[in-house]
Amino acid sequence: MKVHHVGYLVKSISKAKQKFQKLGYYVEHDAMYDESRNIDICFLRNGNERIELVAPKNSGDSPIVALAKKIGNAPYHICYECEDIAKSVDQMVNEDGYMVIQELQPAPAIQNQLVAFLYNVDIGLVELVEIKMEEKK
Amino acid sequence: MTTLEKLQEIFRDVFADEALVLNDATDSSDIEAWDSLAHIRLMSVVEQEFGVKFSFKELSEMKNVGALVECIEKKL
Repeated sequence: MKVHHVGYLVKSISKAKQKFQKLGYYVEHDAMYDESRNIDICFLRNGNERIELVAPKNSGDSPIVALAKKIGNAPYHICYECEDIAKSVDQMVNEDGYMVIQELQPAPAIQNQLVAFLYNVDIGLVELVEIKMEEKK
Repeated sequence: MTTLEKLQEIFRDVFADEALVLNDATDSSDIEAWDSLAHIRLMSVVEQEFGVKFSFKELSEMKNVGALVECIEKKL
């Protein structure tokens, strides 16, 4: 599967963005609030590499808030592209031992493409994003 | 070994606490490290060890060990 982006947990989008810009990244989609996940998101690019900065709002007992408290500013998931997300999720759950921790939903920061989060005890968190063939061209 | 005994072994391993004792009423308020993040890891290990699959709904609705035992036994 092709990597779409690396998810990077940060406390401050603006501070992290400045540091990544000095490393050669540019802003692909500026910071926006994702209400369904209660996080701020910003996408950065550096050549073919893409980073998703994620700053959770510190409220409630969500896995991402707990993770942020535990690891601080650090990468925490890799997102992979697939053409049929329902089929890929089904295959990963039933054949490869993944568990769905966030069901399919549109991601406002990626043009409302469908995304899902899965977990496997051996490799941790994985995100899938549905990118149709015609959208890749 | 009963489901509860096997679960106790898993909980002891996941939470690195050999003194941990489970009963049906044990929930996340009884184990300090059992937050939403630990819940994901715990359920993933439980799936692997028992050879069962939990739906997203089951994962979010299991409130205590008794409910977990019941859910596992229905699937075995």
